[in-house]
Amino acid sequence: MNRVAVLGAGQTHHASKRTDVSIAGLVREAIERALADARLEPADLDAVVLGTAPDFFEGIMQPEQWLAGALGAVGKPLIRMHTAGSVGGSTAVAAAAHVGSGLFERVLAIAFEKHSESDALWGLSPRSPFGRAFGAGAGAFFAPACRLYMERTGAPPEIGPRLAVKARANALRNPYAHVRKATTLDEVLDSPMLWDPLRRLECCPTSDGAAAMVLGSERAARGRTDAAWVRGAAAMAEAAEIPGRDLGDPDVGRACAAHVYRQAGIADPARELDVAEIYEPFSWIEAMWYENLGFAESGWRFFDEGATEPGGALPVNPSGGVLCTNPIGASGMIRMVEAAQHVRGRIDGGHQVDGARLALGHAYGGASNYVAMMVFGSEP
Amino acid sequence: MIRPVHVVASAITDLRAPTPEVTTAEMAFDVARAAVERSGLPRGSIGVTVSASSDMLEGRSFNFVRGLEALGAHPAVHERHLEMDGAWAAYYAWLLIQTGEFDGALVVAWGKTSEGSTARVLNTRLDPFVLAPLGLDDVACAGLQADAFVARAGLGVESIDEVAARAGRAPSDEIVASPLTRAHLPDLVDGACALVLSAGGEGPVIRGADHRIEPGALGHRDLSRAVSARAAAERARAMAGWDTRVDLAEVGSSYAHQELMLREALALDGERVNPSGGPMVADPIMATGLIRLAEAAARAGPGERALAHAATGPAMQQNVVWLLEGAA
Amino acid sequence: MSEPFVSRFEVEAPFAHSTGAAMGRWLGELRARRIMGRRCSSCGLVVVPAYEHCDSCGGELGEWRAIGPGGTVRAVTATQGRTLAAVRLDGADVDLIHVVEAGVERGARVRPKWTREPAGAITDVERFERGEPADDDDAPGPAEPVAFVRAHLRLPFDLSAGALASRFFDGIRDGRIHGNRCPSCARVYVPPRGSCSACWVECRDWIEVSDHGVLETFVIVNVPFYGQQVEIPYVLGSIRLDGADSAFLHLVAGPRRPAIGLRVRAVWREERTGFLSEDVDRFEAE
Repeated sequence: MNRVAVLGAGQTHHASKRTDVSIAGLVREAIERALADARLEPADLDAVVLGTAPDFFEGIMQPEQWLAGALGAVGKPLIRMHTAGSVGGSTAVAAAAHVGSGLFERVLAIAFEKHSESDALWGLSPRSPFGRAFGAGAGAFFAPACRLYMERTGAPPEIGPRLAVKARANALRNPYAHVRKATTLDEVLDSPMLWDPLRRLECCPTSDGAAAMVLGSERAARGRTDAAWVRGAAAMAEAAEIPGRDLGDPDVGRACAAHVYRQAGIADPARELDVAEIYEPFSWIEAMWYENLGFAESGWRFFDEGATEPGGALPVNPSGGVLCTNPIGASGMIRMVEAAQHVRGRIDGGHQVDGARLALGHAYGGASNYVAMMVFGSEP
Repeated sequence: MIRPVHVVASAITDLRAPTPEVTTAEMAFDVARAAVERSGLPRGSIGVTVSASSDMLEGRSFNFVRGLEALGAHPAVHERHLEMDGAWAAYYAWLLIQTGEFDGALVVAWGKTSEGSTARVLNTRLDPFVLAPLGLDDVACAGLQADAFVARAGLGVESIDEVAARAGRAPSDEIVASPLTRAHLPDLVDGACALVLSAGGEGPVIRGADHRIEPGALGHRDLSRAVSARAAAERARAMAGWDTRVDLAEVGSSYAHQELMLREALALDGERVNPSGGPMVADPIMATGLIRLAEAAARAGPGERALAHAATGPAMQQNVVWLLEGAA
Repeated sequence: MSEPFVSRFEVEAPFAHSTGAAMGRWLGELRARRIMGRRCSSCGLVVVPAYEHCDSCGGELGEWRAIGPGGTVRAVTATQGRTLAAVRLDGADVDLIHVVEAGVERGARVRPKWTREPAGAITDVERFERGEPADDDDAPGPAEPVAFVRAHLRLPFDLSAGALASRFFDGIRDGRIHGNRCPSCARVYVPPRGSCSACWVECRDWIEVSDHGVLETFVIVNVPFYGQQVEIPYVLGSIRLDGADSAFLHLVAGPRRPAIGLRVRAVWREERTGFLSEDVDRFEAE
């Protein structure tokens, strides 16, 4: 694949209700920031890739059709990705493929969600035509996996709540994050159980937000000193309905990580990565992903040692992560934007990891059976 | 220079409605297995899987994940899903092969129109502030387009009736969206289609491909012309180094008047347009465009040039054009 | 075996689309009986309706100006008892799509008929009628921005379960739970599957499984949402029946506290519909 550079990125100020803008206004806010960061005009873009999660969230089928004008896509190729929660990531991966094909010079990747326009949990809890539906959002789906992890590893029960404290402390330094509220361990422990064993403050919010990235060819990046390079990119999926499959440690996650690490020449991710932005909608999931992504044999111990705190060996989610900001369709893109911006030295906030040269962005969705990952480096 | 990509194999379900005995996942399983078997390639060797469907048409958020269960994604596969017509999944798959990262792709699209609410769901595709609340459905958008087209082209309804007659329809008195009558509408069905694309192997070669989109705001468009279809065709031809001559074409004219618009925009003056009958004869909506590519590939004789086209969105808002050369 | 089962199923929910500043103003002006256009600062077109962006070129819209209210019909279609048209309002460079009076033809001059009870929606123009606007027609009033356009999605479906699931429902109605087996890996799936996800082959052999099994894991759901069907709090368990390899979700209740590994049994209802999620009311400790 031809080399692909990140020329610029941007995101909206995420909030529970961005009623100040329409969906068109929301995506344009992210696009304008990304273009300004890339020092480009809309006319410089050759193609657009849009990502967003189920149409039912906003009640608009194939929103790329309505939004074509707002996206600056009129007269250009435009495709729309939908890979469940990983979609923000697979959208960035798709835009990279456009550039990597050699057919497009500068491509915009844009992902959004505007949950406030409906009841998000309604959208996440599809009713069954055949009897009662018991689904109650992603929390109901992943809480059992969290329970299994706690039992299997014997991890101290405060690990999850402490992960939530880390996320919320990190978000205070990220001006774009949705939830920016200093939170003590006691406050997390005192918050009501939503999906036992997950308490309210261990669960992601639902947010309105969008994020965008401009990817360019080697030629488009010429002369730029602040480009980041896509060193690895992949989006994978696996069948979920396999008896005994582990939602907390899916094979597809390990396979995708191995693939992008190989592409990027990474042998020891915990040592070689300077920062990672991973998709953790619930506290315990973060510990589970540390294992699935090959950071450590014991995810909870890796956290317990302080390795993933802002000053640690591998800061994870200095942005506050999905736990503090979750416009579902955009969350995967936000991971990629944050990871790339660390490498470019262009983090807009107090959470820049100084001198970051290699970063991982990760997104997952569905029954942990859709994943998208990218590795960004300061060298091509 | 583009990497030559072959359409190695394809499979299409029996296109009909209703189909209560099978689910969309079961249809996807059938065509995916058939296409892979026909390709002669082991499933595990096909580098990437790209699928296409619409959750909203199926009435359930995330319903597309059921389709994944039917696509042989174990062990894990490189996979992408577009919530678009399958023709765009095929474009993305072709693009992925161009990157050099993959040498082959399995493309699968499916959709049921018979299980209800298709018209209402398609209404939600329109601007939620100023178009959807007027209750416009897809047929009304097509009617407006047809009126604009016949006015500019100076044609009468007989021209549209001629197209419909080739799809086996006798003229009808029942106006559904003037000038369109019942005879001019697509036969909405249920169906699935799968293709295997490969950088090596047998089968017609894709020489050019491109797609473009027009504004969603109907009032901003020149509804009398298939603007983005023309633009996509011109770019595809430039990529292939071809002039406008093709030996056969499969075009996504769901409504009869659209064939006339596409003949103009795609510079088709030959006889062999929609030898399969086209979408008027069977239109499963999400798989319709992929079927055009499969049909064109299946019918392109040795050395023949074929054009495949698909449209999506209200009044053909977005269009993709493929240029294929039959294997020698 | 009975006919494949088809369920009448309605997807419905309310939506509130934020308008943003520009569309909010545009609809507010419409409510006040004034049609506004905006000039694109990039391509120069005067467009209607008005967002922040130009739908033709993607550029920023600038100057607001009153347009129409009269216009010329450019395309028209009679459909389902009404007539829709593309209307080029005087002063605009693009068309407004709206309802027009029956019988109106291309080229006709039309003017808006305002609704008596405007709501801040596109339908505040009831339709466009033949004729030129008169000077004293419905003079525009002061405008207030509109924050939302609301929609209630109502999508009825007749969703088929497919022959396979229908056969499963037949068994449930008889108080029996079936699974099917993959001929390649021999895994037994409950409920039965068309194909084995692991082996990518059709599953054929039907077998009956026990209605006793083990609780593999569970969650206590305590969160409310629109359209919820079970009262909170409730225990949602992943249950693997004896004889099955796969697990499914169902309610767990009863005096014993849920725990991983708990042996459970189905509690059946007397009247049955064929749905596992209904005919088995819940699972309880053995």
